[in-house]
Amino acid sequence: MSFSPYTDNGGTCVAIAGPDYVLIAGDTRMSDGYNILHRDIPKLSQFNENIVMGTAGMHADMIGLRKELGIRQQEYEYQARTKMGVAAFAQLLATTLYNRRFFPFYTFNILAGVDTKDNTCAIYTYDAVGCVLKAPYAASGAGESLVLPVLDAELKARDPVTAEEAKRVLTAAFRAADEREISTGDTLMIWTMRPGQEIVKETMPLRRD
Amino acid sequence: MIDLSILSGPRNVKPSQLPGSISRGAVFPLPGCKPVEFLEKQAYTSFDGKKAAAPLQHLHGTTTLGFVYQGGVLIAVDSRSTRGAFVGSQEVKKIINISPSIVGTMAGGAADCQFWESNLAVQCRLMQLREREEVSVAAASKLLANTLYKYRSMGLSVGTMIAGWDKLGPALFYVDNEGRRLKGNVFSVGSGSTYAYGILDRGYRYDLTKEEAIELGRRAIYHATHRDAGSGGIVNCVTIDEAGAEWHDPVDCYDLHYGSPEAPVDAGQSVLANPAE
Amino acid sequence: MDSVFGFQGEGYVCLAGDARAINSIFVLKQHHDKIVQVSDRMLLAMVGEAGDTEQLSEFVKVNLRLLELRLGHLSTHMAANWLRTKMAESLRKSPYQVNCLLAGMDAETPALYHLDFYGTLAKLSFGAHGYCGHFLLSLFDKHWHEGMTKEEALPLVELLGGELKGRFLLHQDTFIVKIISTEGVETHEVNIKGHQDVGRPPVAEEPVAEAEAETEMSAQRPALTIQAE
Repeated sequence: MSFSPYTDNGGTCVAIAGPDYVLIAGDTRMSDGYNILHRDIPKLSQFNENIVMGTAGMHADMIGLRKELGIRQQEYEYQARTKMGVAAFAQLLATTLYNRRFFPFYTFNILAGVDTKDNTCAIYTYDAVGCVLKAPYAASGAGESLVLPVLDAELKARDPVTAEEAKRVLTAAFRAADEREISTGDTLMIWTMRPGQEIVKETMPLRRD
Repeated sequence: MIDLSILSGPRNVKPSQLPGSISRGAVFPLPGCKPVEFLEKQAYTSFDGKKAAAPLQHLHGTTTLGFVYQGGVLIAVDSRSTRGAFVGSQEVKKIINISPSIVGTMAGGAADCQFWESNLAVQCRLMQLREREEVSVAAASKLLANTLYKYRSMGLSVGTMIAGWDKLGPALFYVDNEGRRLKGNVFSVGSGSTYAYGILDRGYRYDLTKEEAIELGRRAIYHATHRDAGSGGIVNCVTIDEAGAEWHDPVDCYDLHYGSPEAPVDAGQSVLANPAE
Repeated sequence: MDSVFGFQGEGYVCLAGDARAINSIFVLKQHHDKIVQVSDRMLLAMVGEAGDTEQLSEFVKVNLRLLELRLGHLSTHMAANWLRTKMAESLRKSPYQVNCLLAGMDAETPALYHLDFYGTLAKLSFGAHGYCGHFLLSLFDKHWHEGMTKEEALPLVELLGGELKGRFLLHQDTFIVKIISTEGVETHEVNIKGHQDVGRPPVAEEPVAEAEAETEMSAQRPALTIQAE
């Protein structure tokens, strides 16, 4: 066995945006293959009251990435003297990931935020090396391929749903991943962001097996 | 909030010091071995040692095409992004604005194209400010080819067309990750390009009208999406002429095939059981 | 897979390259010039790695100009040896994976140099790079002669091109030809119309129905060729 600097700690993140809300959720299990290492590691990172990132993949790289983003965000806020907007942060995340193009962060991110300029809600989804796409809903991580079909069936080419309906779809989608994907489980964190309001942070139990 | 008024005064920040600025990226951290071998190994191995679809980067099983016609230049692309057999997204914007009258297309690695074409847009803007003149398509494509040439043998995957209108008229260049740059009248890039070429080579004439050109471009992409599983989603199309870039309505491949839009599944009604009601 | 070849004549050098730019199974471009004029009196024909050829041609172009300005004059011999040195230097750093033919005129004297990317330089009367060498060198040996006139140049290219068209897998039939002489550079495009169809079975004396169909098809062929012209 040769050395690899990477490990996959699994987990799933999901986000759904509507006209006046954006939900972002992630499970709290951290695993390594069949071993569950921890049951309470959050995958969501808050950068300010308008920006939340969800990260699946390798936990150590998530910590590194979060730290680097935090530093860059602070630099930006000192220089620009304004709080970082979600669009700027989305671009920052893309370039930060791409700067590691030849030694990537093994992280699969989604970014949810409220654009304070026009009070719209936005979701950005990334691959590990910083390809960014804006989307009305997104999922990342080990359960992505289980969760996205549910979201497609419920939300694609539809009128926007209310935050409550979106939350129901989101939990249903997570149930799919929880049941059928081994690295997703334990607790579900759901954060709801609305323009001009504090983030509402909720948790919901998932399967612990 | 922290009071930052003490920092008032003339600011002197080089663009390269801006956090996360896209003009950064000249220095990349490297693993302690050859980047290509390293990434090949990492990208295709999952934790149980089995071969997995490259999880690190979205790859475009793509069809993109461009051609020059009497009125200008046309670009048409699909919008699917895949990771192995998994469709990562059906609505990728594969046409990237480089300047008001120049666009670039994406095929190959999604992040590679996105980053370096954004970087190209920055280079073009700076060049325009320096030279006090709109950047020509030849110059823009050369800037990109030079950048990619610097990174050849580093495993980048880029196959792009740079198309636009400058003072010499319409122009179309093919640029790829080997640093190759070719001027031409008809190009198609991506996994579906053989199919697109089939339609394109039959239907192409230099004296096409704009409407005919759009029809031909869309048709070639549609036929490619029909045969190539890696291509699909919607067909985006842009024409560039003297008046600048004109974006045409995106058309769903479903509509192109069936002649009418996809019917929504029980609009407004959840397909999941709703325990609350 | 690209073909590039050239030969020296009386007061001129002729270079030819197939007109295709290819990438794996694709023909990216059907009229691609592989021969670059690098100075007033010098031509460089290149085959090799896609990006390297363009980078090398520009590098050579500007540096030959610089050398000429510095030294006041520049012979093909000097240019060829300078290029050889540069190729050898870059070989251990980031090699230009390009093989070239350098053709030049020094006053009345033509010169042709054959240079590969390892840095081997040879002055020759004729030469080729790529697979085409396998097909063409014997023909050069037979048909090339000392003091070839300019009138003999294009027919020789056609002869060589005909062999490539008939025997080489890639079916190259369009060649961009550049002739450098005291009068400057002239460019021609040579389209190989037919080729020697060696080994075709003779037509049966009493043609059966199938053979008739075949003759019918081949009867249509000239019409198609005329259309293509």
